[in-house]
Amino acid sequence: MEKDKQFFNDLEELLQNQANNFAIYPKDTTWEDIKTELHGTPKWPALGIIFMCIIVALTISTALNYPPEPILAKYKTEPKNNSIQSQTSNNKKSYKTFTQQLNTKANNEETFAKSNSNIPVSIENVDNLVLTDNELIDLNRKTNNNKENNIVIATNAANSYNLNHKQESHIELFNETHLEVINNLVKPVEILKSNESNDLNINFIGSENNNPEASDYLSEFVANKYLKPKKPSKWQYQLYITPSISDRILFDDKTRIYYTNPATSSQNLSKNVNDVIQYTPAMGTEIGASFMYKVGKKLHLKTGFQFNIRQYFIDAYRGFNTATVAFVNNSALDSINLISLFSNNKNSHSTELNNKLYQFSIPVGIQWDFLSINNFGVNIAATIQPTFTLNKNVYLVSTDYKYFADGESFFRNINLNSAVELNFTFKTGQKQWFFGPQLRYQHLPTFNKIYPIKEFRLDYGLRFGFNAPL
Amino acid sequence: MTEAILIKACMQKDILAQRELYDLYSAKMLGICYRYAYRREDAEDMLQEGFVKIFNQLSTFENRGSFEGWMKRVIVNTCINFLKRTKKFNEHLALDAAYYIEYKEESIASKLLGKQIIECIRLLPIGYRTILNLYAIEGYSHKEIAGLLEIEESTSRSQFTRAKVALENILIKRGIIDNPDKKHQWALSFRN
Repeated sequence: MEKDKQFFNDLEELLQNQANNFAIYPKDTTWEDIKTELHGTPKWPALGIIFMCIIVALTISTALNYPPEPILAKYKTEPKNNSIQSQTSNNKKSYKTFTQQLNTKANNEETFAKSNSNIPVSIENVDNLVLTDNELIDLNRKTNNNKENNIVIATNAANSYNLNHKQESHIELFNETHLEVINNLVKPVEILKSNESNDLNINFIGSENNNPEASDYLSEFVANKYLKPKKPSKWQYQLYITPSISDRILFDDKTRIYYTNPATSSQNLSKNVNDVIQYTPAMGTEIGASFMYKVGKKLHLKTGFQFNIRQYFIDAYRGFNTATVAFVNNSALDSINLISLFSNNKNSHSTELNNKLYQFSIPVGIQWDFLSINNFGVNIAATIQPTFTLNKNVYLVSTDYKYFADGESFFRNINLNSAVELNFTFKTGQKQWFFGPQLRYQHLPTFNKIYPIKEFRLDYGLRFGFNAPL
Repeated sequence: MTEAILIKACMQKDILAQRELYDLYSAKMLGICYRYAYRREDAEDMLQEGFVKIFNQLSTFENRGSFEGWMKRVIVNTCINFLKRTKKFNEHLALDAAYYIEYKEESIASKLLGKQIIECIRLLPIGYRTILNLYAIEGYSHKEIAGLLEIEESTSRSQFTRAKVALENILIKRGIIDNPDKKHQWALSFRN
């Protein structure tokens, strides 16, 4: 019995010894699950990029479509009954007389470009232009939201008059002579608006062109009275992306050395901080949209908005300690202690600290198109970029260069950058594509003026994009 | 000092500090979970649940005992709750069956005594195993076990006695200890 008791005591002791030293390494995914449960699903950075792209797309599409595109009707007018035919025939004589007068007048107006079949013109004050005959009423119901800017040219005088009279419409009231002409225009007409510009094409459809003078008159009438020749826009928009390498340089303001007792100080100031702290530059990106205004033959002013991702990796080693940031304050040495989980001591497990920033900036600058040969060209541009940083995921090094700590408390949210770029361009249709090198420099240190080690970031990359007229 | 810094950083929800703490203790804590779990996957789930509790309840650690001891108690409680919740604790396996359990190749091939003993414990029915773990390894009293598992104190005692006998037979069958007549000698030989 005593032996059994001893045995069981020994068994328990054995179990305790062996079990307490027993360890199994968990799967890598277990930590990821714990992290997710504690901190939630990490935000996908691309969401911000997509959000910015949507805003850019909406802004540009709004700019391109303002004022709203006119609703144009495509209508083929066919003689519907004998009465119209008859009326046309009866009015033929007076119509000819009038068109002769108008043609004489039109020939004197050199500004009017016309063609028998197709006249490109631009719309400025016209929301709606409808050419129709006796189905005028239905069309008008669909399109008369803004009566002030609607023009309706009816090929049936009676309908035109009736509509105007009954609904007190804005419809252009032609005088008797006009009506005579239009009444005789009994053939299909279509008006097409170009998707890429404000060009308006008036086409007279069909091989039957009994009244060529009437066609000319109608085109001339519309163009002279309501449509003005298109002027080239001075505004352009620009979309671009710049994959770039983010680099940095450190400058240590070593004035604190004059306030430190060399015998007791752990400050390691004899070396250059750039030699002590090892790091690896990493790939970043800039995505943006700009609006350019032509102020000279080759000069543009530009502004817009830009989203930046900038990062680099610090070589670090795991280990707990206190990171001390020493600085001079009111002519005396002061210091702040931070918790450090990473050191610059190579005796422990190595890791990399990602100094990654998401930024929003507003570039403002100029572009000079100094070379242009046919569709190819070269330009140079420079911008200054007030920049707001959206996150604070940065590490700083203690002022003895030994430990790394979270730099959030010293971080500078608003900064100023500048960029210069050289672009090679080629033109396809309305768009001018470009690519070329870009250099971007951060003018203010990443951390505020208390922190004595000044970090300046530098990006160099290749820029791609296009310009198009607004 | 360093552990205090780490705990403080974890209390501030510092993700890097949490990872550091996890790296330090996860293997040992998974070893505990493994003794209680029916399967390895369950042990991983217990570990995950336990660490989430540890990080969320760090403020309740009052520096009275060791931090590792506090973590172990949280993990063990998590394991017990897990077993209760998944009804694994109620699974019944006849004691006799324990004597004829097929041993896994991996277990036999294992050269490590600790690993072998843990595998033997895991061969026990879940009820026996839990009480054996709590009493013999974690050091809970039968009264505490009765409260934890919501059973009678006498039940805990009797189950523990049977668990020890069952474990002894498994250990003998696997050649880890000598036959019962020499059983008072084997344990001493291990310690040496």
